[in-house]
Amino acid sequence: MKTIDYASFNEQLFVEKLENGLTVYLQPKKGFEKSIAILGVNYGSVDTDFSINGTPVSQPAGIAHFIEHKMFDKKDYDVFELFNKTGASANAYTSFTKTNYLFSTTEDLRDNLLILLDFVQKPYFTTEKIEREKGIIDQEINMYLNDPDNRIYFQTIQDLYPQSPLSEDIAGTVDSVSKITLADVQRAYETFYRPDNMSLFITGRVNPEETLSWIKENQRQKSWSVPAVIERNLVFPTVANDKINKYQMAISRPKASIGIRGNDSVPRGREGLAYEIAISLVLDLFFSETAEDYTQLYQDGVLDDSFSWEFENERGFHFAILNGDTNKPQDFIDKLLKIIRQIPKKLSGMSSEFELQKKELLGNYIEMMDSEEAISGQFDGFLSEPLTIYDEVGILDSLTLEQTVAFAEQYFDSASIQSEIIQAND
Amino acid sequence: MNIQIAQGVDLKIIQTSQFKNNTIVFNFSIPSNYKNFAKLALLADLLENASLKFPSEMLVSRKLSEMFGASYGVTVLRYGNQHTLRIRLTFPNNHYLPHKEDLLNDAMAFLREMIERPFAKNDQFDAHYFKIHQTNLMSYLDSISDNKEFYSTLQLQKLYYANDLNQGTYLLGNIDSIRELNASDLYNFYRAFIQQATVTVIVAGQIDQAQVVSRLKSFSTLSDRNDLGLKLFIEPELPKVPREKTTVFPGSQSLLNIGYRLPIYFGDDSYFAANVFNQIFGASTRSLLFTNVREKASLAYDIHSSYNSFSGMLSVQAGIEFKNLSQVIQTTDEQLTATADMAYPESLLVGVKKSMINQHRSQSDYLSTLAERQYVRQISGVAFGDSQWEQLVNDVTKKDVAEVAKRVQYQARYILQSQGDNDENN
Repeated sequence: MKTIDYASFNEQLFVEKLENGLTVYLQPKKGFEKSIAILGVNYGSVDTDFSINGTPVSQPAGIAHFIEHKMFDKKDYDVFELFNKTGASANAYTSFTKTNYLFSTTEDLRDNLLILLDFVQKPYFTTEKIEREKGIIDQEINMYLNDPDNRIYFQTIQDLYPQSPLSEDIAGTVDSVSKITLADVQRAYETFYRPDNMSLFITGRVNPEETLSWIKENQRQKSWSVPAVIERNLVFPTVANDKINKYQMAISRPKASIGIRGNDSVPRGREGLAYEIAISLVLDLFFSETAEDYTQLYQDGVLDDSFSWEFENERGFHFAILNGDTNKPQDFIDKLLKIIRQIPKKLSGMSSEFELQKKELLGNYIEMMDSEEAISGQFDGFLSEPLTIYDEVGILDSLTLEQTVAFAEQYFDSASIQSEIIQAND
Repeated sequence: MNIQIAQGVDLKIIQTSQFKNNTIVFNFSIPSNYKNFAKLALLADLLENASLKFPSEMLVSRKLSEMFGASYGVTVLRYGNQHTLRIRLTFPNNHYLPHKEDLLNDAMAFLREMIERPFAKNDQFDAHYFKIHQTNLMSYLDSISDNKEFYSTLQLQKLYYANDLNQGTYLLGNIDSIRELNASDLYNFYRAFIQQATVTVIVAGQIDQAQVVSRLKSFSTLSDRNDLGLKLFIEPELPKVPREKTTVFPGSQSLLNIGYRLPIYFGDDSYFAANVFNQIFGASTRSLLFTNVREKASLAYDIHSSYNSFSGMLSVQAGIEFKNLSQVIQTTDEQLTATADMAYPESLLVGVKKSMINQHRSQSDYLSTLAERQYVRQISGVAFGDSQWEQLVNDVTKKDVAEVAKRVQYQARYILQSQGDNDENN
């Protein structure tokens, strides 16, 4: 077991890659009562088109999320019933590129861990159960459709990445979900739910040696077929730039958003994380309360506290979305676009703001270190090396303004931008 | 550690080395009166975003960045009959900063500035600043109807407390009451409020106690004040006949909200039984409502109950298709009857207790929970040690739960009926 020391934060990370390919990461937190374990599968909603030993496969949108639901449904029980007995709280979620299964508990870590590993690694799929699930998923999709913030978010992504798996909601549509068959589910499961495509991260109250021995023993009892050659085909057609898309919905205040699709290629691992931190820092420099332009727009009533932005840097794509409620949606878009265009040029003259923002981010990381949810949620187990929030602090510390300007030029200069306005129904 | 700073101004210090951050929380409390709701709501925004020394959001934010991204927030809360303005600052512990910078003095000076020197001149808030936040708050109130779950929760509260504006009114007021405020009256209200409200300061982390005390004593606003005779528990006069109301809106999912009186309060003999009851009935994913209404009958996408032990109110919210309304109501009633008849497996009771204990322990991993528990201890005069808390949960029997269920009285029902649901039926 490899040990990584983060001496300045009095923390450690233990890492081991098991014989079957599963990578285990353990990050004990002294004095904490709770343990959180996340079993991550490197498989998400965008992974609908792939090839197995050269044979192309295309699956309905929403299948990764569908499988996530189905994993809890066993022959004659629901997995939640098992966690109900141990008192742990369990959950799962599917993102564009990952499916995560997790629990948190303050006792019986071993029992809960074995439940987690077993329910994800021992599926029970039948046609009857698959058909029954469709009704539940349809209701969930309807619930998302009812939520205007969710709508504008996915609409922005859809307009940034049309005719691609990213243009669909993570849960798919009622229509695409209706097409999912038992064979689809089995094929996707066998392709992606393999130990070498999974990682297990545990933080909080955890004894590394003992915990690793439980995991090893559990994994030794399972076997997997010989791996096939899998290739993911994620292609994004080019998109027109600077288009404003308008929609109507039953809402009380208009909503506006701007999506910035990166067309540059971003490395994975440490360099990719540096890129991500740098771009996030840049967006803060221009679109947070510390920024002059932002403050002006706030004063002018173009945006308000509902405004937020996020930057997603995922396997195969990266984009930023800025959105908010506004009574002046056209102004919102025009003025924000103007700021966005000036970013690479203005940035090099902002060294004092840059240093101040680094200070702020360092504090934010220290705040996250007190949260097991943040520590585990921030971790990506599928990079070439383990990078925790303690590593991110180091990356942040060594980030220079020059480097940040270079990243910003790389991102903004080749980006495609799409804007959305959702107005109230007439 | 309890220290009286002045009459009616108490300080509680929680020393702990478990966390990498410290937190300071000021609570200013007065008896709930709906006439003050809009005032304190807007004051929270005005105290959060500027002061005389930092006369804009940007300058406040930059100051916070300098303090390593300290997070500062002002909110209003309702603890039963108490209306509380809460001012909070969380900042990193100096051990984890690059040059071990001690932020405590800076933090206390910042809080004093924000509390004692609001952005006002000649006894009124800065006119432009006041206007922006007044407008933003009105916009926020206007947009609540877009969040169907929250909107219908507020409507139920209004219906439930049809005879009592102090409890039935939303804590942030309404658009009209915000519009009526003006910069000089509100300033004068604040000056009186800050001198009269009962103050509890909670400080948690690795803190130099003497430094905190001497800093607090230098606040000119924290002087002696009269006892306001604050009451915590709400003993409402409710309508004799249950109230029911339906609103139609355009959308794809309907919401059912039911309010019940459950006259059991925090610290009562039946308090733990009431909590166990709520978990069994509907608060958890293992509950009867979740299992029988959602999982088995597929009648709701989501259904849950909540219990407020300061107000003695139990409520249920369900996301449903309108055509299933009467069936959901009936099935919900049946689950209530089942708890009263003890018609559920012993394993559910055991699981619920385990989970409650698990949750309680888990919560102690947050600095904010330590501060919150201390505050509730202070205002209620009721203190449960952790092992006592667990024992009292474990002592609850099925019969105790049944006795609680029998005390539940139906009071109000609010239905948000989606137009889309209606169309489907026609």
